[in-house]
Amino acid sequence: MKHADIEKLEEAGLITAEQRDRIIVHFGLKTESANKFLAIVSMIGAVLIVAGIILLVSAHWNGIPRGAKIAAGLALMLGAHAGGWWLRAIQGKYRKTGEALHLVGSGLFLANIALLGQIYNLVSRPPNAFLLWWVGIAALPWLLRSKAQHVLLLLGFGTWFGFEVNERGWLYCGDDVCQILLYSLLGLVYLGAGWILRRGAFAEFAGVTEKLGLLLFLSFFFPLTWKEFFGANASETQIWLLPALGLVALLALAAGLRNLRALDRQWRWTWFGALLGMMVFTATVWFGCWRLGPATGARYFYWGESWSYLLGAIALFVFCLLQIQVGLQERSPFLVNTGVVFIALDIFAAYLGLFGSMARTGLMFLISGIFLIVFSVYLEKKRRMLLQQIKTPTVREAP
Amino acid sequence: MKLKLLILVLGLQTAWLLATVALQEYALATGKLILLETQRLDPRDLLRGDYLILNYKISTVPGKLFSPPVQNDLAPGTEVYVALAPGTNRFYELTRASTNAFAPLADEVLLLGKNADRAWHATNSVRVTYGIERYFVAENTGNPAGKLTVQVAVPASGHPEIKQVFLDGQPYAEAMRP
Repeated sequence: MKHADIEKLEEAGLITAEQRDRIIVHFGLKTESANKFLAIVSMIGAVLIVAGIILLVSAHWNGIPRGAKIAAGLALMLGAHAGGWWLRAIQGKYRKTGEALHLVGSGLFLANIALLGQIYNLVSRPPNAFLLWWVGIAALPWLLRSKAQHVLLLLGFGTWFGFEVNERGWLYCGDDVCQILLYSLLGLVYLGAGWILRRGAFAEFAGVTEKLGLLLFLSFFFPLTWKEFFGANASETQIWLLPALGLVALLALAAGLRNLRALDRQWRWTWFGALLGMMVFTATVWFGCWRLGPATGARYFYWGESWSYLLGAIALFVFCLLQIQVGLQERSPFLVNTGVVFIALDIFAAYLGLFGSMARTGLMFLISGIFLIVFSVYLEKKRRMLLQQIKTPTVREAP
Repeated sequence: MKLKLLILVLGLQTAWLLATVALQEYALATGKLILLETQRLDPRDLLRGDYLILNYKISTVPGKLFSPPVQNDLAPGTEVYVALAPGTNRFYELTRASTNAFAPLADEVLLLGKNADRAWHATNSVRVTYGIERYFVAENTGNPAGKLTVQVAVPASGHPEIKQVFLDGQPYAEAMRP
């Protein structure tokens, strides 16, 4: 049953407006699912337009007076927002296109900041431009109740953080490969924020925040399982940064934990404990408990110099198993799918780590190929079975 | 209500952009114009395209010009006041410098810069940046061959701004036109 179907019933006079609203509330129907294809196409279009405009700016319009460039930039930005507002709030029919136009408007704010920097040859730290942009658009997701703006805000913050960590200043960790641990913990901050959002007035933002956070966490934790990972320690790394970020993540996760209503108390704490355990492991790597930390001074190294990658692989494997179990209880295909994918990546990384030194032999390629095919088929079957489990309605026992 | 708040947010975004334009234009219009000698490097900015990194003669301030004298490294980011006066040719050259503010003489121009890095032991000089080290150019024109000079507007605040860059005496864009 879709939101649009209920609206059609009302338009046909089969139900009243009040009944429509009650049905929508009762079944928790969302307008977003009504036209996913149009939404995706609109989003891709918006991203392409923003990228094109940014490239145009960088191509330098020598012949155009600077006043005209600035006026055009401002007119485009305000025009995009005005068009978006008209389509969403006044016209009301093409809400997704309107949302995409607002997204273009937010992208154009960044383009305008870059344009001024180019016109007046402003020398500033790149993260400052991203921070200014982020502050400028921070209110829009809440004002427009737009999931796309919210994703842009999260991505914008991550971009600023990445630039700031690599630029000399208060968060500087440049050239230190351990900065991946910071991005991993940033993912947990997002995950915690998503949990908190579940019970607020903006509950529709929760899902995407959690997904982005978990993906960020898993993606940047995964390199800890690589034996051949090559990196450097920098003596200038801000050592306090990881504990501070870890504390923020921990507070966010603890505050949002009670909102995981599909989990019983025991599973809630197990899931929290698993996340905490992963944070503790990242902290041991950060503080050089595996001879990889900044205590050794500035130097280059392979991750495989210590056994941390093996413990990392085991930790990720156990974590993903728990994640799949949580996904089944929460009926979340995303949790199950990402859990299976990262188990596959983890096992393959461990396999390469253990037998990679034999990679020069033909037999190794043969065995690897067979292993990969058999393993993929097994995991895919398992994944489908788990997803089927999610779709099967639960039978509640009578008291 | 929501529309009013949206207008407020967009108004603030626009106001910041216009305020930046106004400040830059004011400095360009009212600042004292001076000429500086420079050399270039040519990297690329992710958002803003090709630019030249301009390495000015006045970027390297010998320790002996400082009053009170500087004996060692300054912390990166330390404010440095630099006085320039017309040299034997038409270019402005360093006359004195200090980490404290001072009043320039009648023929001097005062620039405010920042210590860029720790290079004292190698050069006995302080590396100063003034915020005029980047000049954005048209794509694929960041490889000039010839003498680069820069016309800079210096407002009362001491924060200089690039007004024009010349290549062998011609405005840069014209000189690089195919």
